[in-house]
Amino acid sequence: MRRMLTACAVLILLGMATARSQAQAEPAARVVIETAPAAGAIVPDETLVTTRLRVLDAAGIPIPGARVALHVDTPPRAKVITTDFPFVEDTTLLELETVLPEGELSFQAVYPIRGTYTFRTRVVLPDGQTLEASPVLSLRENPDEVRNILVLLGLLFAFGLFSGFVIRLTGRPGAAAAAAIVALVLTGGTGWAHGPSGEGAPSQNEPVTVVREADGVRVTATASPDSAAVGRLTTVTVRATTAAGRPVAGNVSLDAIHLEDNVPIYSFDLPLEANGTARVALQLFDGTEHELRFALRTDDGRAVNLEVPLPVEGFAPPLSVKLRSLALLMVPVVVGLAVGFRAGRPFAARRRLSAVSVG
Amino acid sequence: MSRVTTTPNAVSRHAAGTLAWAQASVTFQVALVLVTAALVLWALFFSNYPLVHDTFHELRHSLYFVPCH
Repeated sequence: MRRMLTACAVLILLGMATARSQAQAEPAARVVIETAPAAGAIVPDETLVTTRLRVLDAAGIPIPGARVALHVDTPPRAKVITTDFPFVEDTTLLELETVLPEGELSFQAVYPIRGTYTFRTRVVLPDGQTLEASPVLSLRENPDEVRNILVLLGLLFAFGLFSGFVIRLTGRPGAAAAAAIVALVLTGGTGWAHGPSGEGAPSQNEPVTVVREADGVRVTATASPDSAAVGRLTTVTVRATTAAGRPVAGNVSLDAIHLEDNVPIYSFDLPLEANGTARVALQLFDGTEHELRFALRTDDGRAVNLEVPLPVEGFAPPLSVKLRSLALLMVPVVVGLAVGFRAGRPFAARRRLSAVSVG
Repeated sequence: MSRVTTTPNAVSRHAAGTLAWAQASVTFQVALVLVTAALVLWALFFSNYPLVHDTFHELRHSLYFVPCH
């Protein structure tokens, strides 16, 4: 993994330290965030990206024992052109706070939409200095999506062109009327889909807790709130203790699995704090079933695994966003209609002329 | 003083009527095409009707500015 990161990582931005405790000409430390693959190769909503955050001293050596609070903001909301996840725009993707025993933190995540993500970091160094930095990660849209929308816009233009031509030439609205009726029938439904299925989709805000005990280690995993929702953070907490309730030392890996595709969308490996807990807040951005999988390893070699099922509530996009997108899709139809109507003029004149001469 | 008035004959009345009908018909047809296109696009990409929404879910996610959820 280290070699892959070294080979593929791109330096997004060096967050220069702002040492608050003392005024210095040279920054005492800096925060570096790298991704693998590089930003240009990341496909939103597809690529599982390894993100590595390092706290380096002036000589570029990782500072062990730093404590980092990371807050990843999703790209700001676009004024006109939306993404396919409008409820994800301008929200928080994940938050975590942990100690970095070796001066670096590595996690994997699928970044859901195009745009600029801001990594707001606050680092407390072992000597008490505080550093703040906000590196950014800019992602371009999936090239396939760009191609697909161009094809669709081209088809809509062709439809408008053909319609304008036919109206100018003949003027038979029968087919259009039939299509309108079909469309009306299709839009008659008011239900919502692709969210948790069935009437029992949980919507309460009480946390769900799963407990498992093995090898003398008791692990408690909590997801709060129980019903995760697109655009909202779900706080995941793991606590590991002995049977007597004393905290244990170790690491926990957490994978958030998108069950429809059976792929991870987040993967963390976090050290347990002194009180035996690890906590991360993350946004599950697809309104479907997910599962949180935990693998705890204690420092003395014991291991406990457990899973927490977690449905995610999806929402229909706001009406204003839908109408904006519809308006954009209608532009080529209108333009095509005007061009086709104009192009059909000579043919229509010729047709009238031949009809008169026949009469 | 004599006053001369002209009244449209049958042919010109018919021509005027045909022109008015044609103009109204074109406006109606253009409106119908636009409304139909908007309704079909709405049904495909923005409908909450479960069957339609789920059928075109992947399609929506594969288009640059079509929102899904």
